[in-house]
Amino acid sequence: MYGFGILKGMAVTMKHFVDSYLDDIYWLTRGRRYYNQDALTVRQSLKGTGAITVMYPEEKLSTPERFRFVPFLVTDDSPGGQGYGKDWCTSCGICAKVCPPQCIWIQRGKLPNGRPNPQPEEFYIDIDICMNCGLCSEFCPFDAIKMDHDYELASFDRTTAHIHDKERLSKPISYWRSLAPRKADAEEAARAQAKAGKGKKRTKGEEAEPQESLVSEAQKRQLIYQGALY
Amino acid sequence: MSETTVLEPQGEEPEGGAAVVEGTPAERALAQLKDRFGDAIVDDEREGYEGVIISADNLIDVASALRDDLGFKYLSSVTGVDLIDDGKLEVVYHVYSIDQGGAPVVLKVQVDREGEPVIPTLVPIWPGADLQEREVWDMFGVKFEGHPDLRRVLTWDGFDGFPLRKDWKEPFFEEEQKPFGSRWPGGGVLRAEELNPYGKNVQYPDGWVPTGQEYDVETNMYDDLHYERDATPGLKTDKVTVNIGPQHPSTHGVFRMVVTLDGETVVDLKPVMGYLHRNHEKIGERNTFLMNIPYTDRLDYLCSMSNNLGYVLAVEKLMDTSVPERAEWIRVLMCELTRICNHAWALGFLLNDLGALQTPMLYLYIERELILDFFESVSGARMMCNYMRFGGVAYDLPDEIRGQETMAFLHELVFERLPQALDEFDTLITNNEIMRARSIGVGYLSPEDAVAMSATGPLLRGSGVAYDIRKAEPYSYYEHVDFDVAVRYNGDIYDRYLVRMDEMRQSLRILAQVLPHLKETAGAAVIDSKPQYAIRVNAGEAYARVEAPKGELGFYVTSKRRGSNPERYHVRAPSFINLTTLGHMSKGHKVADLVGILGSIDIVLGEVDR
Repeated sequence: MYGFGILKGMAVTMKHFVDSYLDDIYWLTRGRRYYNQDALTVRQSLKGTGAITVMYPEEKLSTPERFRFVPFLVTDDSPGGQGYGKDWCTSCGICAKVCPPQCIWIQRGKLPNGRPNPQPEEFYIDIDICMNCGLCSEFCPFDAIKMDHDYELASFDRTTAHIHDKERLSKPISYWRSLAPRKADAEEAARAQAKAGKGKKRTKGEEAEPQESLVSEAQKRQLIYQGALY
Repeated sequence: MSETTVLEPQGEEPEGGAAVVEGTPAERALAQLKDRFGDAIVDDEREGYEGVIISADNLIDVASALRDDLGFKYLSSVTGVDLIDDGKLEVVYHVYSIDQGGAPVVLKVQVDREGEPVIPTLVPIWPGADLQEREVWDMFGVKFEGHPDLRRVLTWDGFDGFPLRKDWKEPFFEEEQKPFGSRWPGGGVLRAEELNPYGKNVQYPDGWVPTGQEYDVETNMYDDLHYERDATPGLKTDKVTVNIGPQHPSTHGVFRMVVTLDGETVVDLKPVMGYLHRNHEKIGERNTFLMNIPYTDRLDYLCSMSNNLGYVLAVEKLMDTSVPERAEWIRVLMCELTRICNHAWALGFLLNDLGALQTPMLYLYIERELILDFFESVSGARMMCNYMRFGGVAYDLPDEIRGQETMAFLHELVFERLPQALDEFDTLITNNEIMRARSIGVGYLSPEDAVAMSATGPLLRGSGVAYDIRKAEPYSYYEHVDFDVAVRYNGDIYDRYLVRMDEMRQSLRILAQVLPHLKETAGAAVIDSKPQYAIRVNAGEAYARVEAPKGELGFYVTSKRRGSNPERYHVRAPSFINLTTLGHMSKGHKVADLVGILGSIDIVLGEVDR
């Protein structure tokens, strides 16, 4: 029958239409459909039916641990719990070398005797240029640069606000732990392991120690990528 | 290609086949060409290179022999290479056999760089060379003698110089190769635009005035459009030339069609592109090998996983590396999910173009969002995934996706959610009378034309040519999975729609086979060697192609010995080359159908313009 295909199609849209109301009714007694974390979780999962809209900015999706948006620099927690402490960055320059759009500018510090200081004097990231690829944090051997989850960076003036300096970039390790707890734990375990390995190596009389037990920096990273340290 | 590896002959011997029976189809074809042309064909003996070098005078004869006698009917890629040290420009042709599958015959023609390099055009033999030869002219300044419409294609008419030549420098030029020395350890931050302020960063050729009386951009193009069709007897009407786009929603971005209309009927059409041109290839040659991976995300920004894979495969050919089993399965998983994502988008927009505004599109987007959630959890970004690495993938699958255990999530997605969604979409659209009336018989492309015009992907298979790279020249683990090549025979919009629906179902079939392997290999390594940022590769060239959702996506990469940056980096973009067929398909149809025909090709401008 001519027109039957259209009618069948309209039945599908009708089903979606009804579904959206069924969902409303279901959530009526469970804290409403919108502005409700439980409802949002279901709406955005494989179980979601009807309208799956997220009411941004009142509602926000949680970001997965690996989410990446504009890097930041990891520092120690400052004693008072305020601000940030000592840089983890040693200004080795790997992130600047690996950065595809070349948006990282590092000025290496100098000690009074003229030798390089393992701390950056200045550290800039031009976030207009940054393509959020995450290669800097992937290849940093000191876990000192990480990808942030803060994606709300709109500002009124790009010429002043969009070059992040060291002040703006530095965030304490506790912040990173709050973003990606599992990843941070794995990294810490790997660091501890590497440190233990190094310590042993230095002890005299233990040269015969098999090399395998010493987890190198690179091996450690590999373990993290493989998920073995998760 | 001097050493002949004895393999099982694939497919049937082409007509006129000589006594040579061993080797791949490409090797046999080359042997026969050498028999016939003798000294005119020389093996390319540079380290790591393949194929043959022929002189420009013999090009037409060799190409005709390849097409007519040896069954190599499909010209996949045409690209230029600037061999500045030898003072030569090289044009590289990759020609495939549709019937026999397998590796390409690679032809190379070298001409002197100085003066006016001229090579005869192959458009009469392979119309698919049209846009690609224009691109080589645009980028390298090689003139193709006899080309019907040799204009710049990606840059604009007033552009000065040939940007892919090695001695050409862009306005924001800093150094030949990254990483730039100014970033570390000196590190004073500077915006590139401060050195090249707006207005001073454009060079014009001598005598070129951007505005004023001399302004005659594109006159050639308008003159070339055909006007000669007879008007209806009786009533005299003029033909009108109309620019559809670049700012037109149905062009899927900034794409422009210059159309000559007789009433509402399309008489002639020319595609105009390049509005998003950023010279991806020049950037790629400045980048190190690793840096290019996130850039490939931005080509076809809907299918970054497939783009990653194509590039990574090309570079892996230049490296001594192997890929662990789990990584291969993850790659297949990602590429097939990408295919579903892309087709969901393509069909949604096709229907949008045909007038089914928003509803079908949004229904499929719900499913696409779920797949993007998966990508986000695995790779860290929804669309710019940057996930593949040389020798594997960047990370293993995470433990959970949106609060659900990963394998459970995938299982539910592949076995329940997506099949249901596809069935629902089938009910919604496939038998819809309006959709059928709008699409059946519209935009016809015959199988012969599709092959001649180098159409790929669903466009080619919708015309009845069962050619899928996953079968013809399997890569990754596609030879270990069981699936059918989706093919339909009528060559119209409706069949392209059906091919995409079939492909999504076949993708689900592949995914169903991949999931058990993922379970089996859980915990195994996902990358071959330790991740390195300063990768050095062997000398030579590599061409790798994958069946991206939009068609054949090829990457041509050459490198010096222990090179850290590609010497030449070329992307054979399916959307770009598929546009060759647009004018041919739209002639005789109404303007309203034109939009649907473009939608059925499924282009993404990030890839067309590069």
